[in-house]
Amino acid sequence: MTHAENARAFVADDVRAHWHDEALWFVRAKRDAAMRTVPEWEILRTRAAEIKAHALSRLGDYLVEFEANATKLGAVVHWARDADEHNRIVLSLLRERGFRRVVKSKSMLTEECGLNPYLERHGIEVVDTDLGERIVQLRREPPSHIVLPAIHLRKEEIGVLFHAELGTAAGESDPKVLTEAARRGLRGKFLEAEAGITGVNFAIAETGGIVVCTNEGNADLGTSLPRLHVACMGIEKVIPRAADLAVFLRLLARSATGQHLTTYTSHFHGPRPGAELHVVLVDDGRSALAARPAFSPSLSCIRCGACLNTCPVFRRSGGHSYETSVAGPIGSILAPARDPERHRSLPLACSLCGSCTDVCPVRIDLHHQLLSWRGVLARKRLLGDGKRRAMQLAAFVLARPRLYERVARFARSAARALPSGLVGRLGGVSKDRRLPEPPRESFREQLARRRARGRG
Amino acid sequence: MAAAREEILAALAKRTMAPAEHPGSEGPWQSFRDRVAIFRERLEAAAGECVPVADEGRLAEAVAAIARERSASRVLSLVAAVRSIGAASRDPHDVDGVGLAVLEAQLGVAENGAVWITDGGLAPRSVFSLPEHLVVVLRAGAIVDQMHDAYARLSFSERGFGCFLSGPSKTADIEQSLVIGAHGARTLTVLLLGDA
Repeated sequence: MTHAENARAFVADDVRAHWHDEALWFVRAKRDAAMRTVPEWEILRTRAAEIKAHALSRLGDYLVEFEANATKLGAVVHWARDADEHNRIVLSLLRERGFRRVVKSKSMLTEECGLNPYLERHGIEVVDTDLGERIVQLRREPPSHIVLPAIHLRKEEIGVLFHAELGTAAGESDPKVLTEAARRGLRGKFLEAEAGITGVNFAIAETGGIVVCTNEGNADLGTSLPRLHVACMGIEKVIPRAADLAVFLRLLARSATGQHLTTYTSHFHGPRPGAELHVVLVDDGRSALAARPAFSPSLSCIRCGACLNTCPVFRRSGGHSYETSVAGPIGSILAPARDPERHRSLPLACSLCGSCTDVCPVRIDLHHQLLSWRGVLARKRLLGDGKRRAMQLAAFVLARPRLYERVARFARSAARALPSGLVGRLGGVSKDRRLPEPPRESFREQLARRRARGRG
Repeated sequence: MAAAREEILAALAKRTMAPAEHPGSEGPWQSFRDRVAIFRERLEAAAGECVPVADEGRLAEAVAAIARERSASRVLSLVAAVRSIGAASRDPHDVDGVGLAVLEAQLGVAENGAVWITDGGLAPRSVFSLPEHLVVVLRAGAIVDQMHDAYARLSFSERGFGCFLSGPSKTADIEQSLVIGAHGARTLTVLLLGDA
């Protein structure tokens, strides 16, 4: 389904659509407040973009350096070309040790790879431990937002779910009570787990360490109890030096939720005594993306979610409309790189307002890239015949000033004469928008008249 | 697997990304006239508490008061001046049931109210996330302005674990309502030593 088709279902529930919009705008406002406490914010953004550009320009070298240093500290580094290879590596690590019970903290990469269903098909119990991820896991649906996985749900729906799954009282929907129930249920899972899987926010080439950020402490519980820690990361997550973390960490939580720092910002250098640490480096299309200069800056993304929270289309269409592991503006750039045909509607799920580019902590030119994608899709003939013909027609008219003048005059009088709802529908504008009353005169006509008057 | 490594590195070597210099770490970074006050304000914003303690001699007393208040019968202390109550083995699972853990911070960060703690091989790593309540001892003189100054003082040359902790465990995953005590500590109190 296209994004627009999915969004139609989302906006059909008007109350929920407005609530979703406001919930995300509230997070955006918190981001703004946190950003204002840092006078050098814009310098930090530039610095972050420069560090990422540097790291990506030497990505191979830094991966090799990270591998060498991580190995020195006793970690084992694995390389995976694609999602399938990644999943097989993780499964074999578990199977070799006879492990069947896994706790997992948030990792968008494992969502991208479809790790959970893969492991479950092979008889492994995988428990998502981030509260939002646990909620969507119990509902058997994907997260709708990279930072706020259950932002599409009302507390009453979660109450119904927890009543059925965790035995909370019927009708209970107090977030405190529901969180406490999840805490109690997951404590047991943590204590019984044989392996903990985490994502990676940053990998440090210089030291061989990895950094994982959470607010709940679930990555820390999930790695301090079991004997095996598997950390899964895209190859673009490597940064040159530990000192670079200062730049990224000052930006990340403020951009994501408006906090000054995530509650737990954990630095793992090698396994803990008596335990194992395995790091899986995953390409899955990233090296190909690095080879496309128009889109390679999207590899700088630190997954803060700020572009989702600010995006007028995301806020009003919901994360599930995108049908990707990463939704919103950044997801609409990454997904077509993977499969342009399947995700061809995503670069059009954008008004080109540029708000995403304004808030991006690593200065990715998101809306420019979305526009570039439209060009690529048009050249691949993936835009749809209607749109293509309309563009051809527009190009024909716009290249002929006299013809343009005549067509515009006709369109203006037609638009005045017809009922506005019909005009909107003919123009492909949504049902909730009204076109402004067309002017009687065009700019050219006005100019000609004024000049004539000036002369006279 | 070796094939995967070579293939990925070869693909990256072929790519034509423009070379870019590393910008370095120097900057016009934020500083505060009263670091302790900002640290306290930001820690409280992260739902943590800050209690000044005049000197090390008063630590045990301050911890005992917090343990009483939190009804914590088992206390696991990694700070020399404070005694543990109730045995804990080297098994990380055994930390479950510890009501209060007492940790020592190497430094604090004013801009975000975080403290830096390391495992130092003293206790199982679960001591940072499994106890119901945390107390962190921090010297007021060890508070730096921002993260750049923090990393300038940290070293990662050896195997180990370190964490910036800012306040107790929390979540806002249900309708953006902030709930304290998601999986880890329900409260975090910083005992600030020598804040005159």
